[in-house]
Amino acid sequence: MINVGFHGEAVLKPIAGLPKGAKKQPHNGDLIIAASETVGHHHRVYCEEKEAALYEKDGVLYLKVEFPVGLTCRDKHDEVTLDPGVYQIGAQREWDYLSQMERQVAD
Amino acid sequence: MKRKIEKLTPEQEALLPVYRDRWLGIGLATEQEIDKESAKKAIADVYRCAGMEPPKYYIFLNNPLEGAVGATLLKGAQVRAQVRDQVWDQVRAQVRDQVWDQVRDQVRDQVRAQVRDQVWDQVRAQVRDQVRAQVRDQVWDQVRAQVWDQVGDQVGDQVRDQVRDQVGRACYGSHDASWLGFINYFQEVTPEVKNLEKIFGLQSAARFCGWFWAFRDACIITSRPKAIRMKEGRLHAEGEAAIEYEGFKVYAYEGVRLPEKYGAVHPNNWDPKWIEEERNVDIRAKLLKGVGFERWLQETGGKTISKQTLIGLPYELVERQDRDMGRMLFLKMKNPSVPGVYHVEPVAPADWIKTCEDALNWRLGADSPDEKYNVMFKA
Repeated sequence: MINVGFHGEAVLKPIAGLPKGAKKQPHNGDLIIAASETVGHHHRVYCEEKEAALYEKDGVLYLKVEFPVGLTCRDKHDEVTLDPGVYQIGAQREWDYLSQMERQVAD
Repeated sequence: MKRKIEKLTPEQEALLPVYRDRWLGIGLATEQEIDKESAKKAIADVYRCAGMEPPKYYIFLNNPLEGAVGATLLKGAQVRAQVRDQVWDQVRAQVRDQVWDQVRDQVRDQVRAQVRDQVWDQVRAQVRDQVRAQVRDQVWDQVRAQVWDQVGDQVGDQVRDQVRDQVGRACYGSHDASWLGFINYFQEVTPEVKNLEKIFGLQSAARFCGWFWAFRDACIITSRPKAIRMKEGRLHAEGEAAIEYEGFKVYAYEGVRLPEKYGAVHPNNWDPKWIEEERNVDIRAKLLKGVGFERWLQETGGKTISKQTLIGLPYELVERQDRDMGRMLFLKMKNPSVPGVYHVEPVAPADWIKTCEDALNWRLGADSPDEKYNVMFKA
């Protein structure tokens, strides 16, 4: 059984630790874990650097949470509290029947 | 023998996008009203560049459909006049095709293939993708389709075929931008390439004319479109024409030409029943995209094969058989954060997906029923 949480199309999987070589991303107090490609409904964590930080490796984002933080998405999804830990960020997938291909859900 | 150009300098390479953009601009230019004097001068130059006298008569028409019909009528006049002389001969080959052959050969003789390919790819091909593939070809298809629908019934197959043939006998004015831009690059950026002057008339016509039909003593000149609407390089408009001339319109959705009965209606108002009625697969796919799976399923139905409460929320797995897309599965779920809102999410039509839980696991990444997910939170 694999634990996951999802916030709209964004999927967060708790993992044991950051992968080796993951690179810390610049911190500006507004961590966008899943950017909205169309309507600006980003999934984001407003926090201080000591509370949580984003990392990246091979195109995959990881969120390292040190103190409980809130994951929000303006007007679209309820706020969820993320407990300390490391989360691998992904997206739900869907089937595109027009092209008969799998793709990641985009907002 | 003079050496061929072997390589572009960095400065010359930097100019490739400049010429691409210039000729994209010319190819996609629109006008509310044709500048007749400038158009006449340009056409006179087209004839002079081909070594011919400018035409005696200039006939201005609104759009390519009128042009094709007008050219057919002039061809009829030619048949009658042949007894006296050849003044109504159609001369497209001389004013367009042969000029192109000649300047192309000049470039071949003076520029190495590698450099030609570079300019071809970065100027001509990119302009062609939009101006020719999107605009000219769609106008071409629409004129032929409309002739088929409208002209045939009124005057018979023979005339209909003649009008359709005239679509392929036009010179395309602004819509010939791709190869005119290709030559223009060598004219201005590599002045050592000589003998390209003959293209000048056609380049001038591209700036002032839409499609035109060249006869020995007369030229039918049509206007450029009043509007061209595109999205991400493809013809696209919602509830209005993607290419609009006076008296002639082309409707398109993401590059696929639509009949007026769909194109003139905004996709928000498209009737999901049209998806079932439409036989053309490409058009059907665009109708489906415009309507959206949610509205399509909601209004035309499907079979619920599983109902489950997952993470405290009611889910339904809906199955549907479609003539083009085969078995389709959709997970219907309630938005946990916005009351009264449901989502319909397409799921892969895998045989092992039989329940809502299977479908949800697939959406999270599972590729077999053995992969299970425990959802800690959902919002």
